[in-house]
Amino acid sequence: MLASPFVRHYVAGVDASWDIVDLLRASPTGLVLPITGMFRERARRDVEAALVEARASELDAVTQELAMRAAELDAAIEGLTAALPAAERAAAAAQAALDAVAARGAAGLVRHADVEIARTMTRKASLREHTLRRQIEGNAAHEVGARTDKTWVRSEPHGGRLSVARPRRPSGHATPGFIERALAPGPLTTPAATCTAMPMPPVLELSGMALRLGGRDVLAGVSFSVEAGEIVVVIGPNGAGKTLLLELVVGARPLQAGQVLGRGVPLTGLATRAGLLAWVADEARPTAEMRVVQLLAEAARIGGAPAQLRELIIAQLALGPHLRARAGVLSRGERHRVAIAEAMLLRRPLTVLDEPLAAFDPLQRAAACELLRGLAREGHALLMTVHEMHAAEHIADRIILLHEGRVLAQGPLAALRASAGRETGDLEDIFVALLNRSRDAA
Amino acid sequence: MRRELVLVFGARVTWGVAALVAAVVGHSFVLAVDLYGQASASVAAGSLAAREFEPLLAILRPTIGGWSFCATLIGPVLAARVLAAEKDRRTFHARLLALGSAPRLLARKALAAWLGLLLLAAPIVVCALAWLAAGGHLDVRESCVVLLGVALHAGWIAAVSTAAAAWSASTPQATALALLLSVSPWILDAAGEFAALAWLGPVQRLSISPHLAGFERAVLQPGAVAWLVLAWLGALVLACIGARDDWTRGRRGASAVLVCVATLATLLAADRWRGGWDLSEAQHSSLPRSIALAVEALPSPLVLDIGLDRDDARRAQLEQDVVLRLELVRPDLVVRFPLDGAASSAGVRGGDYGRILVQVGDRAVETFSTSRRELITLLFEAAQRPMPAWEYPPYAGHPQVLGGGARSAVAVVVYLLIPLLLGAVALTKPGERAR
Repeated sequence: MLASPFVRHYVAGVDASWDIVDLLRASPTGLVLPITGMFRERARRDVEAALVEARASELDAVTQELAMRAAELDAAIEGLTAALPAAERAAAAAQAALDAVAARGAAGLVRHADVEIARTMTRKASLREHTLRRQIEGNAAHEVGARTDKTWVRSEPHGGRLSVARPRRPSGHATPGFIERALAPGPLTTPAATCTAMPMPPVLELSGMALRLGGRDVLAGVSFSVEAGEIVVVIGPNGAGKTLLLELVVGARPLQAGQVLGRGVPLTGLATRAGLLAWVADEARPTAEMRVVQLLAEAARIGGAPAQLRELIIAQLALGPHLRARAGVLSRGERHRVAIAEAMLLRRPLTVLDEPLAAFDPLQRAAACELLRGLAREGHALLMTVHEMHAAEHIADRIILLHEGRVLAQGPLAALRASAGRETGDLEDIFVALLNRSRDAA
Repeated sequence: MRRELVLVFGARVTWGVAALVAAVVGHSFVLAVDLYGQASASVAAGSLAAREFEPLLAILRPTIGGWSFCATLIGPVLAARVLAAEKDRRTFHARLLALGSAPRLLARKALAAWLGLLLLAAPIVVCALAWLAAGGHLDVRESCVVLLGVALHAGWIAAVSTAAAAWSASTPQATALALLLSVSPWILDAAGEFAALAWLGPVQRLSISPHLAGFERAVLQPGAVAWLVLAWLGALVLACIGARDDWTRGRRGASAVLVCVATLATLLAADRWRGGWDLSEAQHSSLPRSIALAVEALPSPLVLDIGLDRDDARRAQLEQDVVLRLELVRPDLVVRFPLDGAASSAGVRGGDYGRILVQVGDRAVETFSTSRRELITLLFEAAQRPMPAWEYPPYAGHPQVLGGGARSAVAVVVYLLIPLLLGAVALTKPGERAR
């Protein structure tokens, strides 16, 4: 959060006084140092006073916003609670119908396909009921958070700005913080710990994905899933089919075989895909003619991202100095950061990224990884391809090793180690070992 | 929409092209002014009637011709770029997913492309204003109808260019395809100029040109407007299909064929919608009022069998003059060209060539003249009704000779000022860093 103009004015004054001190230190006289030291101390005291004042006013504003949110959530809970009994009845009726159909199916009176249809309908009814429960629980958790969040908001001078610190909470804590909830994709996405009624279907589920191009099977039988809050990284040698796989997932290519489910629903149309995922292609170059601030504002408007999230992403991806620049004049890495920021601001449950870390220097990569991990902690799922093994190892919850269009191994790093028959070693060693073994076997 | 507008108006190429087009349009305008001035001098000598001097046809139409030429050849480059640039930058699919609706995104892109093409048409307005400032005459109402034709033409180019870009993978592909679609009416129009292309005759009405002809004479034809709007819509639906990368080739192809067939059917239906309103000054694009009322009262059917080849200049003159004027009062007029069906017109050119059969009710008379007055007279003769007195509409004409100083000022504005201004705007736009 930016400091008030008053604070900025004083920070500028302090900067100027330090410049003067440096200048006088370098001067041959050196006699006026005590005077400039006094000037510097006074300026510092003024800044601190101004910061305290700004902090108080910001806390007021945050408190008001939280109170408003709590009231909105109260109303939402009432509405959802009223709808719950009907959903429960529908789920029970569907289950009874399923039992009856299944019994007839077992007796050979009903076709297997009909049983499957009934099963699907039952699952949808249960899902509806479960969704309502989750919304109620999520809203209740948000409401508690809204009432207590003000204690988590603290401000501190940092580079001439006020920042809102993220509260540290243990994994699985039911009450997310204010900023963390700003990162959440929507009211449906609450921390997994709040969900106890029924396991949700995976955010993304691929089964039997296959693709044939130019008479060659470039993908064959690829199946895996991505859970909410999980970072799944696809690695593999060049030409393994990583990008093609992601393009199939986002609908940039027609699906030839297999199935892509999003939250248990087949992703067949643009609208269903758009509701679930955001996409950042490899080497994506945001609209060159637009300023970065305009691009981010548009994405935030579409995704309904709050200003805090925008500020956080801008800070984390170090886009602050480039906000007024046109995207066309940015470097490759900077443009890629803008593209990632746009995707994040859309706040979709799943973000698919093709080589998101390729154009970054080590510092930027670390910051981007931190941002992505933070988003995952809040329930966002991420599916990405990564070429740098060290980065993949650092960021992935689960790694999928793709080779010649097939999944060679998948799982957390430890599982991959086990697959490779190694007790130690980094991902690069495992990668080489698994590929060599595959080639030897071939 | 903001992004699309920035893509068009924030790009250096748009303003650079606009500067180029401004110079061409300005050149067309200055040539038209010079010719008009030379001919107007004949009025003083008494060799030509002032009534024949229409700034609409002699000044505005050639100026628009310059724009039309540029819009057809350069317009697709700008229009296709609005979508193709995002494909090049690998952000198009991400935007589709962000918005969640292909029609919404493509309609925005087509609209932005259309506004970009209208920017190219801005020099026409400047030329018209320069003409008025130099003492020339232009009727506001008829000029608006002509500019409406320009806007509809620009919309058509924008729509087909968007469709071309949606079906292409990159800017070069999109530009090439959009250019092909944009100049395709010229190929169809050529069918009306060369007997060798007579086999294209049946599809000649699918060219955009016949539907824009009325606007050039300030005749507002709802059928032409409907035809153009349907053509836009068809192109946009095709664009939506082209943008669906998640569809298989077969599905996209079959959908495109279906849309093409449906669009052609609706275009043909719209083409049958004749008639319109003459919004020209003193209605000088219509028949004289008394004649028009009398023709309206003639019995049906009203048929013209015109025995002229496609490449005969008299035929084009007939279509743009007598037929257009008759259709304004008698939308049920049937015009037939018997020689179009002949396998080889060369063999048919005998004694009957050039015969025009005028049929009213069950009586017919024939002539070899293409004169407007002669044909109208024959209509009444065939109907065995007296023809009212032929009175020209009260259109005085506006001969105008632009003097040395005024001409120089106009030339400076349209040759230098406007192109330089647009060029300067282009220079303020940043380029894109390659890496």
